Amino acid sequence: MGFGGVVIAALINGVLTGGVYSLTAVGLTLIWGVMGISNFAHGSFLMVGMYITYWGTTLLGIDPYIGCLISMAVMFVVGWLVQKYLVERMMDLPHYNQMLLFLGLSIVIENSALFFWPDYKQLQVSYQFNLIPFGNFTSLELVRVIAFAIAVSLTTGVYLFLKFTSLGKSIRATSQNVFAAKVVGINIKKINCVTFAIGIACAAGAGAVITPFFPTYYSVGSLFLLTGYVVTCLGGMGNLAGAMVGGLIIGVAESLGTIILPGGQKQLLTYGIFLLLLVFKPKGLFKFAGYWQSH
Amino acid sequence: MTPELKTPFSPRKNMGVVLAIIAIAFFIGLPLLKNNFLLSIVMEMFLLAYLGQTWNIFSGSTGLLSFGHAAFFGIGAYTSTILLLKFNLSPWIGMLVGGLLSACVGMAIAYLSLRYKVRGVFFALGALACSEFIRLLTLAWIPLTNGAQGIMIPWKGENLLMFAFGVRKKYLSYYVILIMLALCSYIAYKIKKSRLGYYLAAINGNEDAAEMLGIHALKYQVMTMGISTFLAAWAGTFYAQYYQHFEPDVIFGAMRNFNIIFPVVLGGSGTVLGPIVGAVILQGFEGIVRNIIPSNWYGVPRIFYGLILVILMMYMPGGIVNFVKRKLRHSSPEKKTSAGGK
Repeated sequence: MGFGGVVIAALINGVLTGGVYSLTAVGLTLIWGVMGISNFAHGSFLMVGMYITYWGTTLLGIDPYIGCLISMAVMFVVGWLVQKYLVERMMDLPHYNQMLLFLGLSIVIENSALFFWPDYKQLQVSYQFNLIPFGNFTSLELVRVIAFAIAVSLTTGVYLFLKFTSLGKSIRATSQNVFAAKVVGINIKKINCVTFAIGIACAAGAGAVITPFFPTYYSVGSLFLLTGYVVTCLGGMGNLAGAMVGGLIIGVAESLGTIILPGGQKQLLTYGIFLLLLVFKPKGLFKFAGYWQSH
Repeated sequence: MTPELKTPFSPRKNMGVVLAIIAIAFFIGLPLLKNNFLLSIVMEMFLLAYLGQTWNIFSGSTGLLSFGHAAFFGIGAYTSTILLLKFNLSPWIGMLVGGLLSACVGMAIAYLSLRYKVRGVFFALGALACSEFIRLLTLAWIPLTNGAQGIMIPWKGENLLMFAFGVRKKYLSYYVILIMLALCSYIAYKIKKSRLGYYLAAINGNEDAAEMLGIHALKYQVMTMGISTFLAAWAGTFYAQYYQHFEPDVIFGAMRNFNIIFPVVLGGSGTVLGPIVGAVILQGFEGIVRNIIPSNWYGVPRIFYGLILVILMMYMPGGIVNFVKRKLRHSSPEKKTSAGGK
């Protein structure tokens, strides 16, 4: 497998990982676009999703992908409650307070996980090491392919939900102009709850699908949080499709970065891209959407 | 407000001045107790307060959260130490060089992030990304920074000119950090009361209105960031010289950023006393916690800090000092007759 083979393998793996980044970013950008709040606890919720799936498989023997659905359902409810009783009160406060609130929340969640399970856990499933041959020079890990498939279905599902269902349209309306949405009778509080819940469920889903190949530990969230934000900014804040594409771009960039950079500090490339973005195209590659269009 | 009630020597102000004098005397005289352990705890507290104060100089007055001040702390530490080890340059000078480098990076990030409309969030992310970028860069650039192992400053004997004080003369280091803290707080106070401070307050209150008045928001925000990061680097040099060893994950770690921000937010950002009060409370809390909670209960103290932060943001977002100030203002007789007033 020559150098070209390595690059192509890296590209494909990058796309596979990118799907998961897209899912994380979709949750983030949805919350950002509709409610205008930056959810710094997104990574922690992803981590909780991972742990739910992990324990589901380890203790109850549930397949992690079924565990993914369970974890998403649970975190949907959790997100709803968090929004209703905690976030709702913070909606009018300045950004400063909101960010710190979420930071505090993420610290509580992450350190609780640290307290209960201080070690790195790795989920083991029977098909973990199965490989799918790709072409005749490289093969892909089955679990990564499934993760990608699920992530893409979920992001597409969210996109279609927003585009075609009436609840989805209400959400989009709220993101465009809250006042006008109120005027036409949309229940903003409920919309906020649903949006936040969907966002958190996306995070949990992203966490759940990576459990077979990524270690589960208390601070896994912060990795995905920053990358999620880079993707969100790359795609344009509030722009769902942009987040989907941005995730793939970052995934590929990171993957290529592993080849180029010494010591495998691939995140250097991700943050470097973000800094470049700030310099040249801070509005992201695609346009802003939703809340941020008018702010 | 009736003029005859406002005298320059009201009893409340007198009490404040007396308390301040007692506190200052206490801290200056502390080394006389000859308790090195106590000195080191207070020094940690001062370092925390100092870093918080530098953060406060920027984030307190502009209202823009900087999640990346650890980077500037680290730049200071690494710059002065590398200059010391490679060129035998005195850390006192290295401190200034580190400060300048820090200021350049800080101002660059501030400029890049604050150019566009979505200032608050972009800036927080930009600062965080910058901090992480520098941390990873430090880890990767092994020939210069020794990577994850960190740098160790060999002990070459006591030398005041080379910022090497030694364990026996701990009180010298103590006085250095005390003076640094006093200096930084003084600068914070001066900025607050100066034209720059008023400009920043105006920008913080309503940026568009301020711009309409001709206050160039970006310029002053970037300038303040420069001051803030310049001073933050000094803390890095102090840390390096005092502890004589540091590594990227300790200097630049996520917890470092939180440790810088939390005391200030707790104490009251935007006030000069805030970071100091917050650092005192936090250090005290940490001391208590270390004795109560078993050491294998990882993360439990931080759970408390997180909870405190959440509750603080919900009920007391201005921090303790602002809360106390408000209470004092509402109970003073003059203000009850004036209309409004925040």
